[in-house]
Amino acid sequence: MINKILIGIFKIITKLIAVILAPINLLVTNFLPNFNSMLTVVGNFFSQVGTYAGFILDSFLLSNEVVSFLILYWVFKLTFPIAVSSIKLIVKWYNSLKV
Amino acid sequence: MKNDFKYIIKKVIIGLLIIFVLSLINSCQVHAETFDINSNTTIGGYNLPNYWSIYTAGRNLVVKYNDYQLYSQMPETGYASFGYFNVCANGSFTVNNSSADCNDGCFNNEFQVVNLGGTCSITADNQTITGFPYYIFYSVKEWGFINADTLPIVYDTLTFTSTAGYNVLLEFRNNFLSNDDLYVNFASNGRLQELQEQTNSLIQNQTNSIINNNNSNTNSIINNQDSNTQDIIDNQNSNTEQQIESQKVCQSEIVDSSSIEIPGKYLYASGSYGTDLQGTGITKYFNIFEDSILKVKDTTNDTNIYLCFYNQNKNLISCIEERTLLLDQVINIPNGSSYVRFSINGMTTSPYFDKPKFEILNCKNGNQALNDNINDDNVSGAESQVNDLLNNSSFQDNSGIQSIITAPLNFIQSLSNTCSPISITIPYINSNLSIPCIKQELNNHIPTIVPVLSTAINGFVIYRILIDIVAIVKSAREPDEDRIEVLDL
Repeated sequence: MINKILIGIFKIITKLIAVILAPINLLVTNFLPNFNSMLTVVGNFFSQVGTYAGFILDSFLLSNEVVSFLILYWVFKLTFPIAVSSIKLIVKWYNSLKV
Repeated sequence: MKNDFKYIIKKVIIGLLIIFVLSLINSCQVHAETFDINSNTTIGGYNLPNYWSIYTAGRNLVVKYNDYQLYSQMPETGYASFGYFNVCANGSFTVNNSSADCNDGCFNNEFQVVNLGGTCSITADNQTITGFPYYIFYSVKEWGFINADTLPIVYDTLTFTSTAGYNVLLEFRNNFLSNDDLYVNFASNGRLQELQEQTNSLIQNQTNSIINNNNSNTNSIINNQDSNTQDIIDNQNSNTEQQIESQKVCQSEIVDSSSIEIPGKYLYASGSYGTDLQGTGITKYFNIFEDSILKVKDTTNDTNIYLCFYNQNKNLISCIEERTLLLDQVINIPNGSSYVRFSINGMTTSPYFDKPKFEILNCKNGNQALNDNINDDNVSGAESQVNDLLNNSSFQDNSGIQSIITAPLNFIQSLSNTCSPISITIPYINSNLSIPCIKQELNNHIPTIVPVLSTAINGFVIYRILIDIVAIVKSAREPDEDRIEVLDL
Protein backbone atom coordinates (compact mmCIF):
# COMPACT_ATOMS: atom_id res chain seq x y z
CA MET A 1 0.00 0.00 0.00
CA ILE A 2 2.86 2.33 0.86
CA ASN A 3 4.36 1.58 -2.48
CA LYS A 4 1.13 2.54 -4.25
CA ILE A 5 0.84 5.73 -2.24
CA LEU A 6 4.38 6.67 -3.16
CA ILE A 7 3.78 5.95 -6.80
CA GLY A 8 0.65 8.08 -6.65
CA ILE A 9 2.48 10.97 -5.01
CA PHE A 10 5.23 10.90 -7.58
CA LYS A 11 2.76 10.66 -10.40
CA ILE A 12 0.88 13.66 -9.10
CA ILE A 13 4.06 15.70 -8.76
CA THR A 14 5.17 14.67 -12.22
CA LYS A 15 1.83 15.59 -13.73
CA LEU A 16 1.72 18.92 -11.92
CA ILE A 17 5.15 19.77 -13.24
CA ALA A 18 3.98 18.79 -16.70
CA VAL A 19 1.00 21.11 -16.37
CA ILE A 20 3.09 24.01 -15.12
CA LEU A 21 5.74 23.61 -17.77
CA ALA A 22 3.35 22.97 -20.62
CA PRO A 23 3.47 26.53 -22.05
CA ILE A 24 7.28 26.74 -21.82
CA ASN A 25 7.60 23.29 -23.26
CA LEU A 26 5.35 24.31 -26.12
CA LEU A 27 7.51 27.33 -26.89
CA VAL A 28 10.71 25.26 -26.83
CA THR A 29 9.11 22.60 -28.98
CA ASN A 30 8.06 25.11 -31.61
CA PHE A 31 11.04 27.46 -31.67
CA LEU A 32 13.93 25.24 -30.56
CA PRO A 33 13.02 21.80 -31.79
CA ASN A 34 16.60 20.51 -31.74
CA PHE A 35 17.12 21.65 -28.16
CA ASN A 36 13.85 20.04 -27.25
CA SER A 37 15.01 16.80 -28.83
CA MET A 38 18.24 16.91 -26.85
CA LEU A 39 16.37 17.37 -23.58
CA THR A 40 14.05 14.57 -24.53
CA VAL A 41 17.01 12.28 -25.13
CA VAL A 42 18.30 12.99 -21.62
CA GLY A 43 14.90 12.26 -20.15
CA ASN A 44 14.64 9.08 -22.17
CA PHE A 45 18.04 8.03 -20.84
CA PHE A 46 16.80 8.28 -17.28
CA SER A 47 13.67 6.41 -18.24
CA GLN A 48 15.75 3.69 -19.87
CA VAL A 49 17.96 3.41 -16.82
CA GLY A 50 14.86 3.28 -14.66
CA THR A 51 13.62 0.24 -16.50
CA TYR A 52 16.59 -1.72 -15.15
CA ALA A 53 16.25 -0.33 -11.61
CA GLY A 54 13.98 -3.14 -10.56
CA PHE A 55 16.40 -5.72 -11.89
CA ILE A 56 19.40 -4.11 -10.13
CA LEU A 57 17.62 -3.76 -6.79
CA ASP A 58 16.44 -7.33 -7.07
CA SER A 59 20.03 -8.36 -7.67
CA PHE A 60 20.97 -6.80 -4.33
CA LEU A 61 18.22 -8.89 -2.74
CA LEU A 62 16.45 -5.76 -1.56
CA SER A 63 12.78 -6.31 -0.88
CA ASN A 64 10.09 -3.96 -2.14
CA GLU A 65 9.34 -2.84 1.39
CA VAL A 66 12.90 -1.73 1.92
CA VAL A 67 12.94 0.09 -1.36
CA SER A 68 9.74 1.88 -0.41
CA PHE A 69 11.25 2.73 2.93
CA LEU A 70 14.31 4.05 1.15
CA ILE A 71 12.17 6.32 -1.00
CA LEU A 72 10.27 7.50 2.03
CA TYR A 73 13.58 8.27 3.67
CA TRP A 74 14.57 10.46 0.75
CA VAL A 75 11.25 12.23 0.89
CA PHE A 76 11.73 12.79 4.58
CA LYS A 77 15.28 13.94 4.11
CA LEU A 78 14.21 16.50 1.56
CA THR A 79 11.12 17.78 3.32
CA PHE A 80 11.82 17.59 7.02
CA PRO A 81 14.71 20.13 7.06
CA ILE A 82 12.55 22.53 5.08
CA ALA A 83 9.76 22.25 7.60
CA VAL A 84 12.12 22.65 10.55
CA SER A 85 13.92 25.53 8.91
CA SER A 86 10.60 27.24 8.21
CA ILE A 87 9.57 26.88 11.82
CA LYS A 88 12.89 28.25 12.98
CA LEU A 89 12.56 31.16 10.60
CA ILE A 90 9.09 31.95 11.89
CA VAL A 91 10.32 31.76 15.48
CA LYS A 92 13.25 34.02 14.64
CA TRP A 93 10.91 36.57 13.05
CA TYR A 94 8.63 36.35 16.03
CA ASN A 95 11.49 37.02 18.43
CA SER A 96 12.69 39.94 16.33
CA LEU A 97 9.25 41.47 16.22
CA LYS A 98 8.75 40.86 19.92
CA VAL A 99 11.87 42.84 20.73
CA MET B 1 -61.56 17.63 -135.30
CA LYS B 2 -60.62 20.64 -133.37
CA ASN B 3 -63.50 20.01 -131.00
CA ASP B 4 -62.54 16.38 -130.75
CA PHE B 5 -59.07 17.43 -129.86
CA LYS B 6 -60.38 19.79 -127.21
CA TYR B 7 -62.68 17.05 -126.00
CA ILE B 8 -59.82 14.63 -125.71
CA ILE B 9 -57.67 17.21 -124.02
CA LYS B 10 -60.48 17.99 -121.61
CA LYS B 11 -61.01 14.31 -120.87
CA VAL B 12 -57.33 13.86 -120.30
CA ILE B 13 -57.21 16.82 -118.00
CA ILE B 14 -60.26 15.58 -116.11
CA GLY B 15 -58.69 12.13 -115.91
CA LEU B 16 -55.49 13.59 -114.59
CA LEU B 17 -57.43 15.59 -112.06
CA ILE B 18 -59.34 12.50 -110.98
CA ILE B 19 -56.10 10.63 -110.67
CA PHE B 20 -54.68 13.50 -108.74
CA VAL B 21 -57.66 13.66 -106.42
CA LEU B 22 -57.62 9.92 -105.97
CA SER B 23 -53.96 10.04 -105.18
CA LEU B 24 -54.68 12.73 -102.64
CA ILE B 25 -57.44 10.65 -101.10
CA ASN B 26 -55.16 7.68 -101.15
CA SER B 27 -52.51 9.72 -99.47
CA CYS B 28 -54.97 10.45 -96.68
CA GLN B 29 -55.26 6.77 -96.04
CA VAL B 30 -51.59 6.46 -95.34
CA HIS B 31 -50.87 5.85 -91.73
CA ALA B 32 -48.89 8.83 -90.61
CA GLU B 33 -46.53 9.32 -87.76
CA THR B 34 -47.89 11.04 -84.81
CA PHE B 35 -46.35 13.53 -82.50
CA ASP B 36 -47.18 14.51 -79.09
CA ILE B 37 -48.45 18.03 -79.03
CA ASN B 38 -48.59 18.29 -75.32
CA SER B 39 -45.33 20.10 -75.42
CA ASN B 40 -43.36 22.05 -77.95
CA THR B 41 -42.07 19.66 -80.53
CA THR B 42 -39.54 20.28 -83.20
CA ILE B 43 -38.79 17.87 -85.94
CA GLY B 44 -36.54 18.49 -88.81
CA GLY B 45 -33.42 17.62 -90.67
CA TYR B 46 -33.21 14.58 -92.82
CA ASN B 47 -35.38 12.71 -90.42
CA LEU B 48 -38.37 14.75 -91.35
CA PRO B 49 -40.96 12.25 -92.50
CA ASN B 50 -43.04 12.73 -95.55
CA TYR B 51 -46.26 12.38 -93.64
CA TRP B 52 -47.26 13.24 -90.19
CA SER B 53 -50.53 13.86 -88.51
CA ILE B 54 -51.69 15.56 -85.40
CA TYR B 55 -54.75 14.83 -83.39
CA THR B 56 -55.84 18.18 -82.06
CA ALA B 57 -58.53 16.84 -79.76
CA GLY B 58 -60.51 20.01 -80.14
CA ARG B 59 -57.71 22.25 -79.09
CA ASN B 60 -56.20 25.15 -80.92
CA LEU B 61 -53.07 24.26 -82.69
CA VAL B 62 -50.41 26.44 -84.18
CA VAL B 63 -48.12 24.90 -86.72
CA LYS B 64 -45.12 26.94 -87.62
CA TYR B 65 -43.35 26.12 -90.73
CA ASN B 66 -39.82 27.35 -90.83
CA ASP B 67 -37.95 26.96 -94.06
CA TYR B 68 -34.97 29.16 -93.44
CA GLN B 69 -32.79 26.09 -93.53
CA LEU B 70 -33.99 25.44 -96.99
CA TYR B 71 -32.92 28.85 -98.09
CA SER B 72 -29.64 28.81 -96.38
CA GLN B 73 -28.78 25.52 -97.93
CA MET B 74 -29.73 26.36 -101.45
CA PRO B 75 -29.04 29.98 -102.19
CA GLU B 76 -27.32 29.45 -105.49
CA THR B 77 -29.67 27.13 -107.17
CA GLY B 78 -32.39 29.66 -107.70
CA TYR B 79 -35.05 27.27 -106.50
CA ALA B 80 -37.93 28.63 -104.63
CA SER B 81 -39.36 26.94 -101.63
CA PHE B 82 -42.74 25.63 -102.32
CA GLY B 83 -44.79 22.61 -101.63
CA TYR B 84 -48.10 21.61 -100.33
CA PHE B 85 -49.80 20.22 -97.31
CA ASN B 86 -52.58 17.77 -97.26
CA VAL B 87 -55.04 18.22 -94.48
CA CYS B 88 -57.76 15.88 -93.45
CA ALA B 89 -60.12 17.46 -90.96
CA ASN B 90 -63.52 16.59 -89.65
CA GLY B 91 -64.10 20.07 -88.38
CA SER B 92 -63.74 23.50 -89.72
CA PHE B 93 -60.44 25.21 -89.55
CA THR B 94 -58.92 28.40 -90.78
CA VAL B 95 -55.51 29.15 -92.11
CA ASN B 96 -53.95 32.36 -91.02
CA ASN B 97 -51.09 33.49 -93.18
CA SER B 98 -51.04 37.06 -92.03
CA SER B 99 -47.85 36.50 -90.09
CA ALA B 100 -46.00 35.21 -93.07
CA ASP B 101 -42.82 37.12 -93.55
CA CYS B 102 -42.72 37.18 -97.24
CA ASN B 103 -40.08 39.32 -98.87
CA ASP B 104 -39.79 40.49 -102.38
CA GLY B 105 -40.60 37.94 -104.91
CA CYS B 106 -43.29 36.08 -103.09
CA PHE B 107 -46.15 34.66 -105.03
CA ASN B 108 -49.37 36.41 -104.43
CA ASN B 109 -51.07 33.16 -103.84
CA GLU B 110 -48.56 32.17 -101.27
CA PHE B 111 -51.07 30.09 -99.37
CA GLN B 112 -53.86 28.42 -101.11
CA VAL B 113 -56.32 26.26 -99.30
CA VAL B 114 -58.41 24.12 -101.52
CA ASN B 115 -61.19 21.87 -100.40
CA LEU B 116 -60.67 18.89 -102.53
CA GLY B 117 -64.07 17.38 -101.81
CA GLY B 118 -64.86 13.83 -100.90
CA THR B 119 -63.78 12.24 -97.65
CA CYS B 120 -60.61 11.09 -96.13
CA SER B 121 -59.65 8.96 -93.19
CA ILE B 122 -56.58 9.23 -91.01
CA THR B 123 -55.56 7.22 -88.03
CA ALA B 124 -53.38 8.88 -85.44
CA ASP B 125 -53.03 8.44 -81.74
CA ASN B 126 -55.34 5.46 -82.02
CA GLN B 127 -57.97 7.84 -83.28
CA THR B 128 -59.45 7.29 -86.70
CA ILE B 129 -61.04 10.38 -88.10
CA THR B 130 -63.07 10.52 -91.25
CA GLY B 131 -63.06 14.04 -92.56
CA PHE B 132 -62.63 16.20 -95.60
CA PRO B 133 -59.39 16.58 -97.49
CA TYR B 134 -57.87 19.94 -98.02
CA TYR B 135 -54.97 20.96 -100.14
CA ILE B 136 -52.75 23.78 -99.01
CA PHE B 137 -50.31 25.04 -101.53
CA TYR B 138 -47.39 26.83 -100.14
CA SER B 139 -44.72 28.85 -101.78
CA VAL B 140 -42.32 31.45 -100.59
CA LYS B 141 -39.95 32.64 -103.25
CA GLU B 142 -40.14 33.33 -106.90
CA TRP B 143 -37.75 31.76 -109.28
CA GLY B 144 -34.40 33.40 -109.60
CA PHE B 145 -34.72 35.79 -106.71
CA ILE B 146 -32.54 33.91 -104.34
CA ASN B 147 -29.52 35.82 -103.18
CA ALA B 148 -27.27 34.37 -100.56
CA ASP B 149 -25.99 37.74 -99.37
CA THR B 150 -29.36 39.28 -98.75
CA LEU B 151 -31.20 36.15 -97.82
CA PRO B 152 -33.64 36.81 -95.07
CA ILE B 153 -34.87 34.28 -92.64
CA VAL B 154 -38.40 33.62 -93.55
CA TYR B 155 -40.91 32.52 -91.02
CA ASP B 156 -44.21 31.41 -92.24
CA THR B 157 -46.91 30.45 -89.90
CA LEU B 158 -49.96 28.44 -90.63
CA THR B 159 -52.48 28.58 -87.89
CA PHE B 160 -55.14 25.96 -87.86
CA THR B 161 -57.95 26.84 -85.60
CA SER B 162 -60.37 24.07 -85.09
CA THR B 163 -63.93 24.67 -84.17
CA ALA B 164 -64.65 23.98 -80.58
CA GLY B 165 -65.94 20.49 -80.05
CA TYR B 166 -64.53 19.21 -83.31
CA ASN B 167 -61.52 17.10 -83.75
CA VAL B 168 -59.21 18.14 -86.50
CA LEU B 169 -56.75 15.67 -87.79
CA LEU B 170 -54.03 17.21 -89.81
CA GLU B 171 -51.83 15.37 -92.17
CA PHE B 172 -48.90 17.11 -93.66
CA ARG B 173 -47.17 15.95 -96.72
CA ASN B 174 -43.72 17.17 -97.29
CA ASN B 175 -43.53 17.75 -100.98
CA PHE B 176 -40.88 20.37 -101.02
CA LEU B 177 -38.44 20.38 -103.81
CA SER B 178 -35.52 20.18 -101.53
CA ASN B 179 -34.38 17.23 -99.53
CA ASP B 180 -32.27 19.42 -97.37
CA ASP B 181 -32.95 20.29 -93.79
CA LEU B 182 -36.46 21.31 -93.16
CA TYR B 183 -37.75 22.23 -89.76
CA VAL B 184 -41.28 22.28 -88.59
CA ASN B 185 -42.02 23.60 -85.18
CA PHE B 186 -45.17 22.51 -83.46
CA ALA B 187 -46.07 25.06 -80.90
CA SER B 188 -48.75 23.93 -78.54
CA ASN B 189 -50.01 27.38 -77.83
CA GLY B 190 -53.60 26.31 -77.80
CA ARG B 191 -52.88 23.55 -75.42
CA LEU B 192 -50.85 25.84 -73.33
CA GLN B 193 -53.56 28.39 -73.25
CA GLU B 194 -56.08 25.84 -72.25
CA LEU B 195 -53.81 24.67 -69.54
CA GLN B 196 -53.33 28.18 -68.37
CA GLU B 197 -57.02 28.67 -68.24
CA GLN B 198 -57.42 25.46 -66.34
CA THR B 199 -54.50 26.36 -64.15
CA ASN B 200 -55.92 29.76 -63.42
CA SER B 201 -59.23 28.22 -62.60
CA LEU B 202 -57.57 25.56 -60.53
CA ILE B 203 -55.41 28.11 -58.79
CA GLN B 204 -58.42 30.26 -58.07
CA ASN B 205 -60.35 27.31 -56.74
CA GLN B 206 -57.41 26.11 -54.72
CA THR B 207 -56.76 29.59 -53.44
CA ASN B 208 -60.35 29.98 -52.38
CA SER B 209 -60.26 26.56 -50.78
CA ILE B 210 -57.00 27.31 -49.04
CA ILE B 211 -58.25 30.65 -47.86
CA ASN B 212 -61.43 29.09 -46.56
CA ASN B 213 -59.52 26.28 -44.93
CA ASN B 214 -57.00 28.72 -43.55
CA ASN B 215 -59.72 30.84 -42.12
CA SER B 216 -61.35 27.81 -40.64
CA ASN B 217 -58.06 26.40 -39.41
CA THR B 218 -56.95 29.75 -38.10
CA ASN B 219 -60.12 30.12 -36.15
CA SER B 220 -59.76 26.58 -34.90
CA ILE B 221 -56.12 27.14 -34.01
CA ILE B 222 -56.91 30.39 -32.30
CA ASN B 223 -59.70 28.77 -30.35
CA ASN B 224 -57.51 25.80 -29.48
CA GLN B 225 -54.64 28.09 -28.64
CA ASP B 226 -56.84 30.02 -26.33
CA SER B 227 -57.98 26.85 -24.68
CA ASN B 228 -54.51 25.31 -24.63
CA THR B 229 -52.90 28.50 -23.46
CA GLN B 230 -55.33 28.69 -20.63
CA ASP B 231 -54.64 25.06 -19.77
CA ILE B 232 -50.90 25.66 -19.96
CA ILE B 233 -51.18 28.73 -17.80
CA ASP B 234 -53.28 26.84 -15.31
CA ASN B 235 -50.84 23.94 -15.28
CA GLN B 236 -47.89 26.29 -15.04
CA ASN B 237 -49.48 28.10 -12.19
CA SER B 238 -50.24 24.86 -10.43
CA ASN B 239 -46.75 23.47 -11.04
CA THR B 240 -45.10 26.72 -10.09
CA GLU B 241 -47.04 26.86 -6.89
CA GLN B 242 -46.04 23.33 -6.07
CA GLN B 243 -42.41 24.00 -6.93
CA ILE B 244 -42.36 27.21 -4.98
CA GLU B 245 -43.93 25.46 -2.04
CA SER B 246 -41.40 22.65 -2.07
CA GLN B 247 -38.48 24.97 -2.78
CA LYS B 248 -39.50 27.24 0.02
CA VAL B 249 -39.31 24.46 2.50
CA CYS B 250 -36.06 23.06 1.22
CA GLN B 251 -34.31 26.35 0.66
CA SER B 252 -35.23 27.58 4.06
CA GLU B 253 -33.71 24.49 5.56
CA ILE B 254 -30.61 24.85 3.45
CA VAL B 255 -30.23 28.45 4.50
CA ASP B 256 -30.54 27.40 8.07
CA SER B 257 -27.80 24.88 7.50
CA SER B 258 -25.33 27.50 6.29
CA SER B 259 -26.01 26.73 2.63
CA ILE B 260 -23.87 23.66 2.61
CA GLU B 261 -24.68 21.62 -0.40
CA ILE B 262 -24.95 18.07 0.67
CA PRO B 263 -23.70 15.38 -1.65
CA GLY B 264 -26.49 13.10 -2.55
CA LYS B 265 -29.03 15.75 -1.98
CA TYR B 266 -31.24 14.21 -4.58
CA LEU B 267 -31.55 10.55 -4.01
CA TYR B 268 -33.09 8.77 -6.90
CA ALA B 269 -34.20 5.27 -7.20
CA SER B 270 -34.49 5.10 -10.91
CA GLY B 271 -34.09 2.49 -13.54
CA SER B 272 -35.95 -0.56 -14.56
CA TYR B 273 -37.78 -1.15 -11.36
CA GLY B 274 -40.55 -2.55 -13.44
CA THR B 275 -38.68 -5.80 -13.06
CA ASP B 276 -37.35 -5.39 -9.57
CA LEU B 277 -40.48 -4.02 -8.02
CA GLN B 278 -42.85 -6.04 -10.09
CA GLY B 279 -45.47 -7.67 -7.95
CA THR B 280 -46.14 -6.99 -4.35
CA GLY B 281 -43.92 -6.91 -1.35
CA ILE B 282 -40.74 -5.97 -3.17
CA THR B 283 -39.29 -3.09 -1.30
CA LYS B 284 -36.78 -0.33 -1.61
CA TYR B 285 -35.69 1.46 1.51
CA PHE B 286 -34.50 5.02 1.73
CA ASN B 287 -33.15 6.81 4.72
CA ILE B 288 -35.22 9.66 6.02
CA PHE B 289 -33.69 12.48 7.98
CA GLU B 290 -35.27 15.14 10.06
CA ASP B 291 -35.47 17.64 7.25
CA SER B 292 -36.09 15.30 4.39
CA ILE B 293 -38.71 16.23 1.88
CA LEU B 294 -40.21 13.27 0.17
CA LYS B 295 -41.34 13.48 -3.39
CA VAL B 296 -42.16 11.07 -6.14
CA LYS B 297 -40.98 12.12 -9.57
CA ASP B 298 -41.86 10.95 -13.00
CA THR B 299 -44.19 8.22 -12.03
CA THR B 300 -46.36 6.77 -14.66
CA ASN B 301 -50.04 7.24 -14.43
CA ASP B 302 -52.27 4.59 -12.99
CA THR B 303 -49.51 3.37 -10.77
CA ASN B 304 -50.38 2.66 -7.21
CA ILE B 305 -47.42 3.01 -4.94
CA TYR B 306 -47.26 1.98 -1.34
CA LEU B 307 -45.24 4.22 0.87
CA CYS B 308 -44.62 2.77 4.28
CA PHE B 309 -42.68 4.62 6.94
CA TYR B 310 -40.56 2.91 9.55
CA ASN B 311 -38.76 4.08 12.61
CA GLN B 312 -35.12 3.55 13.36
CA ASN B 313 -35.75 -0.06 14.34
CA LYS B 314 -37.67 -0.58 11.15
CA ASN B 315 -40.93 -0.90 12.94
CA LEU B 316 -43.88 0.18 10.84
CA ILE B 317 -45.31 3.57 11.65
CA SER B 318 -47.83 4.09 8.90
CA CYS B 319 -48.43 3.54 5.23
CA ILE B 320 -49.90 5.49 2.39
CA GLU B 321 -51.73 2.97 0.34
CA GLU B 322 -53.68 2.77 -2.84
CA ARG B 323 -52.70 6.17 -3.88
CA THR B 324 -51.75 7.51 -7.23
CA LEU B 325 -48.92 9.83 -6.51
CA LEU B 326 -48.63 12.91 -8.58
CA LEU B 327 -45.54 14.43 -10.06
CA ASP B 328 -43.52 16.40 -7.54
CA GLN B 329 -46.11 15.88 -4.91
CA VAL B 330 -44.64 16.44 -1.49
CA ILE B 331 -45.44 13.55 0.80
CA ASN B 332 -46.08 14.13 4.45
CA ILE B 333 -43.59 12.18 6.50
CA PRO B 334 -44.85 10.93 9.84
CA ASN B 335 -42.89 11.91 12.90
CA GLY B 336 -40.22 9.50 13.96
CA SER B 337 -39.70 8.08 10.49
CA SER B 338 -36.22 6.88 9.67
CA TYR B 339 -36.93 4.81 6.62
CA VAL B 340 -39.44 4.85 3.87
CA ARG B 341 -40.23 1.78 1.88
CA PHE B 342 -41.59 1.92 -1.63
CA SER B 343 -43.52 -0.93 -2.97
CA ILE B 344 -45.60 -1.41 -6.01
CA ASN B 345 -48.81 -3.27 -6.18
CA GLY B 346 -50.82 -4.57 -9.03
CA MET B 347 -47.97 -4.57 -11.49
CA THR B 348 -47.99 -7.47 -13.83
CA THR B 349 -45.82 -6.30 -16.66
CA SER B 350 -42.89 -3.98 -16.61
CA PRO B 351 -43.96 -1.44 -19.25
CA TYR B 352 -46.53 -0.08 -16.88
CA PHE B 353 -43.81 1.07 -14.64
CA ASP B 354 -40.97 2.08 -16.83
CA LYS B 355 -38.74 4.59 -15.13
CA PRO B 356 -40.06 5.71 -11.80
CA LYS B 357 -37.99 8.03 -9.74
CA PHE B 358 -38.34 8.32 -6.03
CA GLU B 359 -36.80 11.46 -4.81
CA ILE B 360 -35.96 12.46 -1.33
CA LEU B 361 -34.91 16.03 -0.95
CA ASN B 362 -32.45 15.61 1.81
CA CYS B 363 -32.20 18.93 3.52
CA LYS B 364 -30.15 17.83 6.44
CA ASN B 365 -28.54 20.52 8.50
CA GLY B 366 -24.96 21.43 7.80
CA ASN B 367 -23.35 19.76 10.81
CA GLN B 368 -25.14 16.53 10.20
CA ALA B 369 -24.10 16.61 6.57
CA LEU B 370 -20.51 17.41 7.46
CA ASN B 371 -20.39 14.58 9.96
CA ASP B 372 -21.87 12.20 7.46
CA ASN B 373 -19.36 13.34 4.89
CA ILE B 374 -16.44 12.86 7.25
CA ASN B 375 -17.64 9.49 8.40
CA ASP B 376 -18.31 8.34 4.88
CA ASP B 377 -15.67 5.67 4.29
CA ASN B 378 -16.91 4.67 0.92
CA VAL B 379 -13.93 5.16 -1.37
CA SER B 380 -15.13 2.92 -4.15
CA GLY B 381 -14.29 4.37 -7.48
CA ALA B 382 -11.68 6.73 -6.12
CA GLU B 383 -8.82 4.77 -7.62
CA SER B 384 -10.34 4.74 -11.05
CA GLN B 385 -11.07 8.44 -10.84
CA VAL B 386 -7.48 9.19 -9.87
CA ASN B 387 -6.22 7.02 -12.68
CA ASP B 388 -8.49 8.79 -15.11
CA LEU B 389 -7.09 12.11 -13.94
CA LEU B 390 -3.49 11.03 -14.14
CA ASN B 391 -3.93 9.32 -17.46
CA ASN B 392 -5.53 12.36 -18.95
CA SER B 393 -4.13 12.77 -22.42
CA SER B 394 -3.39 16.44 -21.85
CA PHE B 395 -0.83 15.46 -19.23
CA GLN B 396 0.80 12.69 -21.20
CA ASP B 397 3.30 14.78 -23.07
CA ASN B 398 6.57 14.00 -21.35
CA SER B 399 9.25 15.48 -23.51
CA GLY B 400 11.66 18.37 -23.60
CA ILE B 401 12.00 20.42 -20.43
CA GLN B 402 9.36 18.35 -18.68
CA SER B 403 11.30 15.16 -19.27
CA ILE B 404 14.58 16.47 -17.92
CA ILE B 405 12.99 18.10 -14.86
CA THR B 406 10.87 15.12 -14.00
CA ALA B 407 13.66 12.66 -14.82
CA PRO B 408 14.88 12.30 -11.19
CA LEU B 409 11.32 11.86 -9.98
CA ASN B 410 10.65 9.30 -12.66
CA PHE B 411 13.84 7.54 -11.73
CA ILE B 412 12.90 7.40 -8.06
CA GLN B 413 9.50 6.19 -9.05
CA SER B 414 11.06 3.50 -11.21
CA LEU B 415 12.93 2.16 -8.18
CA SER B 416 9.70 0.61 -7.03
CA ASN B 417 9.39 -1.38 -10.23
CA THR B 418 9.32 -5.10 -9.80
CA CYS B 419 12.05 -7.11 -11.38
CA SER B 420 11.61 -8.25 -14.94
CA PRO B 421 14.14 -10.31 -16.88
CA ILE B 422 16.39 -8.35 -19.18
CA SER B 423 16.41 -9.35 -22.80
CA ILE B 424 19.12 -7.88 -25.00
CA THR B 425 19.75 -8.50 -28.64
CA ILE B 426 23.49 -8.89 -29.18
CA PRO B 427 24.57 -7.07 -32.30
CA TYR B 428 26.32 -8.91 -35.15
CA ILE B 429 25.54 -12.26 -33.57
CA ASN B 430 21.83 -11.61 -33.87
CA SER B 431 20.87 -13.63 -30.86
CA ASN B 432 19.02 -12.71 -27.71
CA LEU B 433 20.65 -12.62 -24.31
CA SER B 434 18.10 -13.09 -21.55
CA ILE B 435 19.16 -12.44 -17.98
CA PRO B 436 16.67 -13.70 -15.40
CA CYS B 437 16.03 -12.03 -12.07
CA ILE B 438 18.94 -12.81 -9.76
CA LYS B 439 16.86 -13.31 -6.63
CA GLN B 440 14.67 -15.88 -8.34
CA GLU B 441 17.73 -17.69 -9.67
CA LEU B 442 19.35 -17.72 -6.26
CA ASN B 443 16.14 -19.02 -4.74
CA ASN B 444 16.18 -21.81 -7.28
CA HIS B 445 19.76 -22.82 -6.57
CA ILE B 446 20.51 -21.88 -2.94
CA PRO B 447 17.08 -21.45 -1.35
CA THR B 448 18.39 -21.79 2.20
CA ILE B 449 20.93 -19.00 1.98
CA VAL B 450 18.87 -16.38 0.16
CA PRO B 451 16.57 -15.47 3.10
CA VAL B 452 19.52 -15.06 5.41
CA LEU B 453 21.42 -13.01 2.90
CA SER B 454 18.37 -10.91 2.08
CA THR B 455 17.62 -10.26 5.72
CA ALA B 456 21.19 -9.16 6.34
CA ILE B 457 21.28 -6.80 3.40
CA ASN B 458 17.86 -5.32 4.05
CA GLY B 459 18.61 -4.98 7.71
CA PHE B 460 21.83 -3.17 7.00
CA VAL B 461 20.09 -0.76 4.63
CA ILE B 462 17.31 -0.07 7.10
CA TYR B 463 19.88 0.39 9.84
CA ARG B 464 21.75 2.95 7.78
CA ILE B 465 18.51 4.75 6.95
CA LEU B 466 17.51 4.92 10.58
CA ILE B 467 20.91 6.29 11.56
CA ASP B 468 20.56 8.98 8.94
CA ILE B 469 17.07 9.80 10.12
CA VAL B 470 18.33 10.15 13.64
CA ALA B 471 21.11 12.40 12.39
CA ILE B 472 18.64 14.54 10.50
CA VAL B 473 16.46 14.89 13.56
CA LYS B 474 19.47 15.70 15.71
CA SER B 475 20.61 18.34 13.28
CA ALA B 476 17.15 19.86 13.41
CA ARG B 477 17.57 20.35 17.11
CA GLU B 478 20.52 22.69 16.53
CA PRO B 479 19.05 26.23 16.66
CA ASP B 480 21.69 27.68 14.36
CA GLU B 481 21.55 24.89 11.84
CA ASP B 482 19.71 26.29 8.83
CA ARG B 483 21.08 24.22 6.01
CA ILE B 484 18.49 22.71 3.78
CA GLU B 485 19.28 19.77 1.60
CA VAL B 486 17.59 19.75 -1.72
CA LEU B 487 17.48 17.31 -4.52
CA ASP B 488 20.00 18.31 -7.13
CA LEU B 489 18.10 18.31 -10.32
